[in-house]
Amino acid sequence: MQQAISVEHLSVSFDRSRILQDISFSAASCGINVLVGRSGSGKTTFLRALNRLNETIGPVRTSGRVRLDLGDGLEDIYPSEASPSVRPMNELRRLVGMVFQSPRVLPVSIAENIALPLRVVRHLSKDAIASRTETSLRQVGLWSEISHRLGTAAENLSGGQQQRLCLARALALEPAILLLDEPTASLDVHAGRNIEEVLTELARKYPVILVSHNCRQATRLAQQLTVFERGSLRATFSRDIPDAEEVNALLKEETPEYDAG
Amino acid sequence: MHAMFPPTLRVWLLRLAPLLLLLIVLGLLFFLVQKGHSALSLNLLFGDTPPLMAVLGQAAVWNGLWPACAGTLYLVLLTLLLALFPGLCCGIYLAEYANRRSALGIGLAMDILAGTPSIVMGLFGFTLIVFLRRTFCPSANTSLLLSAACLALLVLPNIVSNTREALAAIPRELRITALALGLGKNAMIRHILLPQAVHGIAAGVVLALARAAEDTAVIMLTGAVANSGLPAGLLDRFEALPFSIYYTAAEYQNADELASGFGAALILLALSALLVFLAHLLERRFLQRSRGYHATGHLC
Repeated sequence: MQQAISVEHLSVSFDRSRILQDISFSAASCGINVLVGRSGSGKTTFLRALNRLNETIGPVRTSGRVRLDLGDGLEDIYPSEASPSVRPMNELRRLVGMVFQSPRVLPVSIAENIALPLRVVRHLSKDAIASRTETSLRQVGLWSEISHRLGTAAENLSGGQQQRLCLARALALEPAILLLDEPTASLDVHAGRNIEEVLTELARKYPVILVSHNCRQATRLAQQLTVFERGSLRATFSRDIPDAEEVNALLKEETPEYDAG
Repeated sequence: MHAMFPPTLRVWLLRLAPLLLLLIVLGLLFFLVQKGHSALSLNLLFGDTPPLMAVLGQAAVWNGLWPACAGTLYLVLLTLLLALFPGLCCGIYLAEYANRRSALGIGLAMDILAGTPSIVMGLFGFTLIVFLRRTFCPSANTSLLLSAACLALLVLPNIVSNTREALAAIPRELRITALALGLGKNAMIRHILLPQAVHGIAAGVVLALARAAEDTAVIMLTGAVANSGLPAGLLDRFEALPFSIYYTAAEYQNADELASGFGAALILLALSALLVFLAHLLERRFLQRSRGYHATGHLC
């Protein structure tokens, strides 16, 4: 199958402390790729390396090669000697949609949450924005629930609805890749399942990279499962995805050095 | 505090504090109304001139406060016009673009400016005019524009620091979210951060507005006079309410004149309240528009 993400020897350091070390990873053009690992194992940093969001957090050093298929085949996203000019950061981030651990709605109305980025980033007309708002809200199964109150504050939605709104907001920008950083961690089981169903549907069209702390969820959703350990890749499963107990055991039997540190 | 007061007493002390504030404000209002109510009439504002003619500028008012009201209004608006844009820009620069060293340097300069007594600013304006008259521009004189410029310098730190603090208080998550959506830094500031900070910025503007309306020391040295009629232009002298109050308090001949001074104080208070109210109204309108809130929920 065609590759959507190709990462070679990626290392990331913040303030001289190395968070990711020599990661090589690839993902197909559709399907859910789940990243698991203990807290601090570098999953989120890895995710943020894919849309260069690490650079907004502090002085960061990134080395290695990251190529993404953003519509025209694999392309480098970090400038290097081989490819000195890369896509502008804003465009990259627009094309690599991201949903965070806790729902991060903008402090504006529900409709404006989707319309604002479309207007500012894509310069779309009112009509185009309206139709895209409806389409993306339908994609995440939110349209029937909230179409009658699009002009009210997005913060008044429930946690699960907010998270689906964030997903709809990312989808409205027509991304090529979706990154999700524990999107169900702050939700109850029912709302979490809702998101999972939406993701399974979306994974038919998009390459989805999902960070999960929940081994059951990871094995339930994964078409490819990658285990992170202390900033490195420990294992990648793409055919025989292990069951939740095995993944749990894998995460527990990390090297003693880790426990000591 | 914990050891000194038992919890119930602490709660009562906390309740007492706003009550005290309310009492002081009400006391002040009562005092002003009691002293000035007898003078409050259209006559106080317009003297012998028909009010409509005076408001339309068709007849001059020589023994009323209307020219002073208009002068103060012009002064406040001109001050805001001069201070708002540079103040906002400076605040945004300090919060979003400046490195630590320049932020420290500019912040220090702003603190010094904020601590400048208004009489010093008045003297500065006066000396500036003296300097201009002796050098480049012999016809320069104290005027509405000079007063507004000096007042703008005086209120600039309010706007700068409020803008800066309001932007700095916005959580980092919101910035990261905006950047992750593909917004550039400028677009993020313009479309996400500034609307979020508008409440804090408006508070700075209200402070600036109130200070410009009440300041006497600056204007008495830079262009306010006791009797000039409506301000004829930016380069002309003008009347202003705080100066009228000061002048009446210093020179009154009888009880009626003193009462008219208190009346002027009441009018100044009402004018300030009106301006503050308008500022809040504008802020609310802006917030509603920028956040896309409306009662039903159709796409617009």
